[in-house]
Amino acid sequence: MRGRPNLYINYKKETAILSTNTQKIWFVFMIVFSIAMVFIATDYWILLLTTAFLIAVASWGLNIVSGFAGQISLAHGVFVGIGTYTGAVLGGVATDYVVGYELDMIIWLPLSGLFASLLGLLIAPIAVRLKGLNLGLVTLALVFIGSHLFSNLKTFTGGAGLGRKTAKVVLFGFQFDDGFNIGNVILEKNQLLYLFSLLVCILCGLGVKNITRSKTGRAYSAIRDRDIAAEAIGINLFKFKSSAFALSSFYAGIAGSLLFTVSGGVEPGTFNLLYSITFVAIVIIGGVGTVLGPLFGALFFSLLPGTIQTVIHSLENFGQGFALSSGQIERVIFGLFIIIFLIFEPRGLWGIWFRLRNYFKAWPFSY
Amino acid sequence: MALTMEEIYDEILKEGGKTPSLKVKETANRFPEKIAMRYKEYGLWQETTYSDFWLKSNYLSMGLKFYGIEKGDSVAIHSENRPEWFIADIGIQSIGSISVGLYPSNPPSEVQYLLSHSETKVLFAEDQEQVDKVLEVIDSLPMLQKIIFFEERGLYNYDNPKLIYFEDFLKLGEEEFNRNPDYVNSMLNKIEDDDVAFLVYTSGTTGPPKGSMITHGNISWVASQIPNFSLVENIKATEPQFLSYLPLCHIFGRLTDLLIATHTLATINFAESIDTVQADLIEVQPTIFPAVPRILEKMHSGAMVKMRDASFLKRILFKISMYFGYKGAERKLNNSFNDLIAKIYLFIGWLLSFRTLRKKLGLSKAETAISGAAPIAPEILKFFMALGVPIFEGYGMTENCGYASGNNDKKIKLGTVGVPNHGMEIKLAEDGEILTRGGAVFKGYFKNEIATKETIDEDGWLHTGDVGVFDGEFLKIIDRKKDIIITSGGKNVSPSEIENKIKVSPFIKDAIVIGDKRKYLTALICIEFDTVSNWALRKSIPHTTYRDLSEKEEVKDLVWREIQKANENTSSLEIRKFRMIPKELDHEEGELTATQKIKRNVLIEQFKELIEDMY
Repeated sequence: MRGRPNLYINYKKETAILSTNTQKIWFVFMIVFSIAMVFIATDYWILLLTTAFLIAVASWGLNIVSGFAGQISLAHGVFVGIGTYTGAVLGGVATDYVVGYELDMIIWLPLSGLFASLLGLLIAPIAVRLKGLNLGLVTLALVFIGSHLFSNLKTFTGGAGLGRKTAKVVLFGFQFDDGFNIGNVILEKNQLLYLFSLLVCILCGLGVKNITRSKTGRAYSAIRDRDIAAEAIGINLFKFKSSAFALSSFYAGIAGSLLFTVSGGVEPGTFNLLYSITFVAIVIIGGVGTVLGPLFGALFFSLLPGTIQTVIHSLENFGQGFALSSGQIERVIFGLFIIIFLIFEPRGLWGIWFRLRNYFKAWPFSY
Repeated sequence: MALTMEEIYDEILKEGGKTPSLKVKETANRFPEKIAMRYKEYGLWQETTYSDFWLKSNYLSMGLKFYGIEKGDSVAIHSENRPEWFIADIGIQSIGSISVGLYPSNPPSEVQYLLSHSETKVLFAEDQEQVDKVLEVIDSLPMLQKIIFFEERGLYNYDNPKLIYFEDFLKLGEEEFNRNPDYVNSMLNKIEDDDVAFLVYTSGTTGPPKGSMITHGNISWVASQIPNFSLVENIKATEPQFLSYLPLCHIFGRLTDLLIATHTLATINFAESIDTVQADLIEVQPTIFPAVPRILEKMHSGAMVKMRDASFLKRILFKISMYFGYKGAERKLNNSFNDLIAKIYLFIGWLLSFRTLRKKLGLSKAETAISGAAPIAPEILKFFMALGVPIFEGYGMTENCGYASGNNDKKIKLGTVGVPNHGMEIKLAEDGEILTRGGAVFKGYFKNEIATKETIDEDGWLHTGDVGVFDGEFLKIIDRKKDIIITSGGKNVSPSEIENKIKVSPFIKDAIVIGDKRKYLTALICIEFDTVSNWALRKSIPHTTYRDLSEKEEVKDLVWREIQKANENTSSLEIRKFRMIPKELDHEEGELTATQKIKRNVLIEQFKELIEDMY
């Protein structure tokens, strides 16, 4: 029915991923805008945005297990690492020290996700038996086990301090390194990788949105809000907690396998405790348990340092003779932002967006 | 496939009006897939097509035949508005039986009176609540043979042999239908204009309710006037949407939801319940919005209270919109509805606030809106006109199918009930009583020759019992003839005029003006709990129940200020004193009629001490 957006005559329409025209218009606009960025933005920003998209995918993974299903996981970085090394082993080039099979991306990309989710399933039995902080401690232990293994399985990871090259990005025989010509516009590897990451990001984002409107998503929320009550209404805790961990790890694996192809190399020390905590921070800053939140958080996290740097560099004399170097100032400002957000907008960046939207949605009332 | 409104009106002009049964049958044949009804269940609006509608009502007719119901027998429906109501109503009328509507809020004693007076043989009851009511009094209803219920819940282990579930009943009817598929059509063709289609019991502010006999001729005559009916002719949308929430046993609901909707090939959406009307309005955004003052007052006060909570910027913008809206409304009233400057003014208001406000009130698609069934304050009408949704006040009563007079966009004067409707004659008797004549005047009261003779005179004039005056060509209602107050000083006062002035206040729900044979006027006041409670919270006045709140000194001061505002605006006598009614008025306790009208004499009797205290 035209002009009657709330008159639902079937559930299909009511639960549509993009239910209103406004949402559809925004969705298309953002995609067009993101694609246009390839031709507008400098290489520096393209790299940052590529990273942001992939970090968003990984954060969505954490959001599934922590935000939707309410299970604390401090080991998300480890699963990202597992994805990275699965991709590197299957798609990378073999050297004297490390193995590599030079497979096509169409093989190693899904396998990275699947392998990570398989390992995620392994810790699921623990998650079912533990709750809250205890679960947090166990996942914390996973970080140390992960770090140890990454540093010592030298044939796969290259070992601590050395690292290895990541997978070669070859899709159906097409080398991203070669670039791509559209008329007289040449798309280089970075730009192609940007577009590919955008595609992965959109697909994963739609996947998350799809989970929230499905039976699985409702089961996750029920478990998060009260696991005993959820069990009482017939939700199989073991099944859904396991699937949450598996799905979460799948997202981490996918993101991980692509994330370091941007720079081309990876060192095992990357996947330390701080790395895992970063994802928790992104999800909190963006908005826990929301679909758009992790995307906002990832963009914020990836783009803010760049923005601060640009601003500081443009003020040439700033920081001259100052006690802190520009790099330190950058970190101080970043930290301040996080503190301010947590104090004034606990629902994260998404909360700000939500309030802004509701201000106009409720017009001319306030509620 | 869809017809435009012009084509529909042309057809009606050519072929004349029809009864709803004939119209549903016709639409079912021409546009079988057209959506006739929507009913919200499990969060979705479940649809029924016209062909399903007609088929189901045929099964229902056959089911009634199976239980021996014949032409002229009474069949009652006791339910909230829902598709089954319509299916039953059409099914009953199609075979010439008489449909009797009962208010869902009717208590058992009234159910007993209505069923026995109307000689009902079969009852359609909505659910356990209504079934329980009739079972309580079933011993005094020997005529009643069958009770059919729409909802099974709670009734599984009832073993009264008269009970049968609606779906089972329809199955039975389906078998009968397959055996004799032409029965309904043959009965339909036998219906004469003079046959009674349904009984509408008047709400009975005094004495027991009287059953008005509305004939098939009455309704098809009113239907034939639709293309010229000032309130309907403005509809332009090709697929009009109705929201059915006015009680269907009342003539206003029957007129709009059944007669006008079927003739405009509309879709009827049923409100989930009377409490969710505002939410349903937002979802349905109806094309035509028939309303009673109570609903409009509630929408107005709700919007005002919410506006007070809005942020500074929004309040300012709203005030600006309101300023332009009122200016536009004034111009429209003084000049014409096509006044260009008025349209510009209203556009400014629309741009700033009213586009979204109308959406939130559910009026963004309303092409015509009517207020009827009770007098409404002009201030409320002006408010809606400022929003760009002119609401036209109309006048009518059960005895003339609710079709007597109305304002329209060409002839409008606030505070009056407009000009006589197309085809109706209106004149005033010597004592000021309003008389109407035309095809809509009913056949008479069921089993009450005396009352019929008192109401319809030999020339066919219907004596309405309302006193009015003509203001130019506009009819103005003063009051019910019997309600007019004559003070001991000999002054004639219309209480409802003053009451309506007082009820403009968002804080006051009901007011009863008293003063017959007294020195001065006083009032009993019933506050609007929600808004007063909101006000009290803002003023940090702690309160618990309705009674507690209404007895606070601050609230009394508030009410007194509101009454003084009304006093300033009135040309007749002032209210000198008032008392609070310590409880919310209720139908089941006999204080209100089923249509939420005050039973004045009951209240005056009940609160005798409060009243004496004021003199």
